[in-house]
Amino acid sequence: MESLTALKTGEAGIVEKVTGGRSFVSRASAMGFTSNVELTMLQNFARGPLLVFLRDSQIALGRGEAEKIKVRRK
Amino acid sequence: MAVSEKTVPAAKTFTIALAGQPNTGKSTVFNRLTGSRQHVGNWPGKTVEQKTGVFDIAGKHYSLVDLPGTYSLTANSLEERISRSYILDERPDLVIAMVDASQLERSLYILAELVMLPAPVIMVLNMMDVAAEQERRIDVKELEQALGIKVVPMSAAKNQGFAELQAAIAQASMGELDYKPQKPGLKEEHTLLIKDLQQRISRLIPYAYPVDWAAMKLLEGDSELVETLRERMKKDEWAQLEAILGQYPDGALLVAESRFNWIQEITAQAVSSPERRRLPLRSRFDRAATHPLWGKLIALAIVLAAIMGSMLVGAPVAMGIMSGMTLLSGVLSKAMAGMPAWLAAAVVNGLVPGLSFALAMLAFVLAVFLVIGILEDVGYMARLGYITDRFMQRIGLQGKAFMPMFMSFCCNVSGIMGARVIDSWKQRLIVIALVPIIPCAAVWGVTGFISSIFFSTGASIIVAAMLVAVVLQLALSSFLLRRFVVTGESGGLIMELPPYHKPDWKNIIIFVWLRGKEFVKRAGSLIVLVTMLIWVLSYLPYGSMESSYLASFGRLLEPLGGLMGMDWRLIICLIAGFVSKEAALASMAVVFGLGEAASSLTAVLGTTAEQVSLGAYLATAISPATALAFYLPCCFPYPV
Repeated sequence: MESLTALKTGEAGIVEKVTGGRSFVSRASAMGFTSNVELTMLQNFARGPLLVFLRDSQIALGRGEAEKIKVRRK
Repeated sequence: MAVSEKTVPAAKTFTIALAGQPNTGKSTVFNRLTGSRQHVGNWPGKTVEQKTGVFDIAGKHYSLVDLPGTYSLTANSLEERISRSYILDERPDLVIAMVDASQLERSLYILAELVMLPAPVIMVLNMMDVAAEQERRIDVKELEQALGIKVVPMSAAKNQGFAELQAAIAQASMGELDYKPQKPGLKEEHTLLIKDLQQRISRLIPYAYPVDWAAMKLLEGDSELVETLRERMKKDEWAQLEAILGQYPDGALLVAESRFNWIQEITAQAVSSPERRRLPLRSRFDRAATHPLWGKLIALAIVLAAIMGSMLVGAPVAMGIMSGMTLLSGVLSKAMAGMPAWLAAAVVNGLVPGLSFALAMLAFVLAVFLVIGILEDVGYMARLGYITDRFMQRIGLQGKAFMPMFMSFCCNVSGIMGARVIDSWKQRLIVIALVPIIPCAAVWGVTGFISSIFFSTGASIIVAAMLVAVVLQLALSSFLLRRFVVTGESGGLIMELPPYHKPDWKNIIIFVWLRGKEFVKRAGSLIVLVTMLIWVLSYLPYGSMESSYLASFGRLLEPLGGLMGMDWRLIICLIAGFVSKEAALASMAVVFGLGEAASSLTAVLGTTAEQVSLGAYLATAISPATALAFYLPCCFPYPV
């Protein structure tokens, strides 16, 4: 299990867990980040926010937020 | 569990709430239904914009309330609280849920929440054309059956589906629509848990709350509900409940998952894509627009073009208004020759300059909102937030704050009005508190002008140095605000980058028109009032500026202002600037006389500067300008 930030551009993964405060978990899960959902990393440069594709949508998230989302590689 | 409810015809005006996630075409539907019969205000006691409107179908009157666009209805943000408490407490007769057919799975999420609430729902399935381009087939009849609610397919951008929506609304208002929604439930292993929770809270929750909804929200850890129950429960009861909830730290995740499972069940039969799309079709432009380097260059180019564009539109109009007003005051002073001198003076020297400044400001506000409206409508605004996020994080803000902050360089008022795009309430508060630090175009005009007089070729360096100073001050103030005033978890960046759309001009024009109207009502009248007040003070008691109350007040402060090389007239302008920077310019026009404002300013600064040594010379040159940039200005954006 690793953080979402570990996925490189183009790699796919499956969400295992969303950690962090209640408000973050609730916000992230409403945007589609729930357990067992498949996602693809669209853009991950070494710095700056990430771009992820899941549930038909492009979602941008900061590195700090991505750290809280745990995935397993596919 | 399906509960049968019928939509009931109401004797009063049939009230409809429009709900949906951001970027689902909510505002398009709102504008098409109500046309120009709409009103922008704030939700009572909140800093969140509320749009309401009215329309008629076949002679029957309807009122429409636009709920804030949110991704869910948990009490995380102010918007979410507003949406759900409106539905729970005000009980609209109908809720229209906007759903994006091209992003069906995610955008259905809010419907999963809405069907748990007591108001009947119909669903508008927008962007059917985009879904068709993706070769996704959606069987609307099948979807209707699976959901148990009315579904209206729509392609708002192509003007398709509005007649059907109106028909559905009319039907609902006659009580002719069946409403038997399938509600999402938790997995079987949690049925007992939910039953138990329901039993514990059923007599304690507010009357308006459905108990099955409340139990789910409790498991999600909904802060509002938890607070209510903690207050209402006996100590031991609450301790028991807290212990049960403590066993499910992932409650929010469990509930969200159950909603997405519900969505998958519903769509399994009704939706078929040739092959599950793994990746979006990202255009080359979008790749570039989100690239750390190219994206920044594109953002810079677009933002500069936007600022210049709005200046190009705004400036000539403003100039035209100003020269028109000068003409007008000439004509008026002749026409009013027969009237009492004070009345003519009040109109020519007080009212006309005040009005002309307010109108000139309006030109800029409209231009800025035109630009914001276009960028927002085509979907670029979110990219801008994404690309500037890293830089903004450095000064403790998020990317979404970029555009309002940047627009503040054009005009603080539009910056503060634009701060509504920021979804986190805390961030919005910080931005609103920070915006007045940013010198707006008017101040830059003054600054550029002054520095060019004193430093000729070095002027650009001075201006650049001041820009750096402003950014540093923003960072410092933001740090202090977050440290001491607006504390607590500030929402980090997590946002959708919506697909690009062609601009919908009708939408944009209505957007600009409403903002302009709001500005005139709130800020415009204040500017006119301030200039009138300054004029009255400068006229009384003897009808001449030199011996007026204003002058004696200014002279009183002259020793203080003298330190900064200002005479009493500049001090007055500075004081007026506490109310608004624009008022400072306006009062400059009154105090120095309209046409002479600029030249008098030079003269005043020039003569002071000649009398002092070189070191003081530099200090005088910089300090009025920096003072203008640094003092706490602009009170009038706050009512906005």
